[in-house]
Amino acid sequence: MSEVQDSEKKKQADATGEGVEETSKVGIRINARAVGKHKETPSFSEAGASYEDELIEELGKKYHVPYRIVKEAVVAVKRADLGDQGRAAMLQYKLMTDDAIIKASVNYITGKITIIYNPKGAKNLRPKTDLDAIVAKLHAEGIEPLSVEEHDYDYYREFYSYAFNPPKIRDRPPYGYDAEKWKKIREDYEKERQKHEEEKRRKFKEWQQEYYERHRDVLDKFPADLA
Amino acid sequence: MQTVSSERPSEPSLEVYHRNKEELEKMPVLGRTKTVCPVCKRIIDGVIYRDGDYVMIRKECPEHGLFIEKYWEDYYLYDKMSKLQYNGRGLENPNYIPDTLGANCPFDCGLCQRHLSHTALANVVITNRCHLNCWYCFFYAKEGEPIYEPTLDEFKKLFANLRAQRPIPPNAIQLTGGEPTMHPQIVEIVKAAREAGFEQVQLNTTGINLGLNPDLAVRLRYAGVNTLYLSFDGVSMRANPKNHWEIPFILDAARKAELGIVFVPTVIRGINDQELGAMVNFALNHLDVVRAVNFQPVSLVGRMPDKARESMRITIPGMIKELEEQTHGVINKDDWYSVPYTGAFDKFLEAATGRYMYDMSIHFACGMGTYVILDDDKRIIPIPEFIDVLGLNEYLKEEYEEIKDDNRISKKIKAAKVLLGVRKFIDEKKQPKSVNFLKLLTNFLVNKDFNSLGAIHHRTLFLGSMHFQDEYNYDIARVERCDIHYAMPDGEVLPFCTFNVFPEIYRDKIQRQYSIPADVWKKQHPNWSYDADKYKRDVKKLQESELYRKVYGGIVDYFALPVNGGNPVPFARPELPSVGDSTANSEKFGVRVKR
Repeated sequence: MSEVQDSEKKKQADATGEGVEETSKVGIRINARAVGKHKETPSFSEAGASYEDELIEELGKKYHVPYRIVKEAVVAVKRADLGDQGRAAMLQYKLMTDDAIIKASVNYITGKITIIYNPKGAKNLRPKTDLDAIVAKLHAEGIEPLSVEEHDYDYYREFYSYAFNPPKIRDRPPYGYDAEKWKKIREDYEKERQKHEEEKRRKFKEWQQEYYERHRDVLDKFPADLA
Repeated sequence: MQTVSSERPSEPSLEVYHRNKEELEKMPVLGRTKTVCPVCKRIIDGVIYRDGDYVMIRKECPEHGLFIEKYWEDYYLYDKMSKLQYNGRGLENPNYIPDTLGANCPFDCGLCQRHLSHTALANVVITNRCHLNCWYCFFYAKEGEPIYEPTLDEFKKLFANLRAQRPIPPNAIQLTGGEPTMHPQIVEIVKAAREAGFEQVQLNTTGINLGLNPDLAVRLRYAGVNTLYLSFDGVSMRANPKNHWEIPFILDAARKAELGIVFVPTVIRGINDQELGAMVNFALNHLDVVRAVNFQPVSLVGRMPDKARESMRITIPGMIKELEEQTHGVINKDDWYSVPYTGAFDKFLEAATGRYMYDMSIHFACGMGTYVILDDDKRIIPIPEFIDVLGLNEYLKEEYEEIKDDNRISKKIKAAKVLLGVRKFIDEKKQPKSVNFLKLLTNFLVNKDFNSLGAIHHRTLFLGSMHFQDEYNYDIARVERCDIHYAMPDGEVLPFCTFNVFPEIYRDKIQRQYSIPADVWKKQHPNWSYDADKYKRDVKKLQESELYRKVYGGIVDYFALPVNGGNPVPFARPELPSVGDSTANSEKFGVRVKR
């Protein structure tokens, strides 16, 4: 393939979101769209990442979130390569011991391995890896990938924000209530719970005032604590 | 390949580790579970079986061979407590949804949708800095390592995330470390935990910073700390080199600040298990501030020689039997109940009221507890001596089945009758002289009068035991029911026994992700140095203080009183060093002393 053809194909792939298949150093067919990019990007020290790059702002407050756009590789494998459920779990464990791998999931039933990793060139201070190294790791475990798909993964939006705001996925009514009965009284319960929360806070404030009276000799030395 | 040695040990209690396969096959199987290979972490089948008086777990990895470990050191208690087991409900909004649906447990944590309990006690690591360098602890930053110390705003976010759990948001939080009092904003963090709605705020601490700075204890109490979860590994300096010398000052500071204390001994066979009775007795001596002793049989995390592991292993029933022996039967093994005992109360009260109760649906093998009352005549009375605890449990289970399908009004009417029936489980003749327990329980259950419990507040000592797992005794049926969880900076929530047993993929890994590199930390804190963080103990000064000599010299051995049988507990009173001998004496125990 000529350089021009290659470039055209990459442009097309970027436009359609589909990957260009190439052969990696370790001999498997991979989606080259993102791989090609991160190979060209310098590592974090070259990119001059600093701790400040790992801070995000939410509603005017700063939070430390080490990753932004990282990579997700989805590897299709033969179930036979995984052995059994217990060995699949062990493989997941082994993958996760790599600090450059943020999260790994080895699904024995579907024969799919999903790996979220911190790619070389990402602007953060954390350990990094690349797809070749990951595929080599799989090879070392006796796994022959059938295919590898890779795409950008927004760690902040897809992982961190989900974990900090997980949606309700099911109902768990109180013991002795089925979903139907619970539906009728849940609203009342929520209101009562809210009231209870307010009452708790009020009682605590009252207790604090009494405590302050008994310990003002100490607490008056720390006016900020009383605010 | 790991093999079980056929060489018989001289100690009879260790023989159970050295059975051959033929012998193992003959042992009665009590249950089957999933566990982990301690070497390669492959998930493998575990067999729980009876070997004489012991309950054991065995597992065989195709690559690393057979592993045998003590599961519970008492078959009778295992049989009795396993009947209390039930499944809880997990979360409606789990923080992580693996596409494996949790099939790779315990490597799918976050909490995932498979988990069976809600968070009952939320642990939050405040910092990985610590002022001590305990040889057995891996959980603090060594020199040059990254510092994990989130900001106040980050903690507020963690607290809100925990409180958003449904259907039952946790109301108890434990701020831990490292040493949490080393965070410069610890007072503000406590305040934020209270503002987030936590009612019970515990501080997991060595207590040293509070003992030496009593004002901090008052500030923390005012901000909202209820309880110090205090390291306390024994009464003697040999058993408790961590804070033996400061304990008198910590008790004093807590007393003045009106803080409750839970003593938390990590129990290691051959190291401090001979002081269990002495620790309970010491707690009874300070019942005005000490609320509980929570024994933690050691979790042998990490690789170690088999012989060392076998000799150090102690389980909850093992600890209970040692305590029974040391207290000459005053606190015996029939006084203890597994945590899911409370499930019968929860289920009944939920069905009766339509209101969620705190659901302690952990595995029965994870935790046990009991209450003892110190009566006016100094008699020590475990509550199960005058309450038919198991009978009450059965009664509530049966009544729950009766009312669960009724309509709401009928449930309430029947429930009132049931609660009045509770009285038949109390033996009024045996109850403490100083407390009308029947009246108290009726007020509590019928009128929900929590203040009535104040009558026994300073007479009651809770004795608990939580056994955290390690790779050798790991049982996935236990970890999937865990309700002591860690809130992580990435929003995930992890059970205690995944967080600490697999630190390389959970605790250390995630904290490294969210830590501040050592060089950045130094730039941010130019006046900070690793060495300056460390506590330098002035043993001589502490040991020669009036408080030290008063606390350790004035211990009453309650078990030696005729009303309790008149048999002293071993090591009730530590030998006080003579004045001037302090430094040399302490150095024998490897204590870092100020020169």
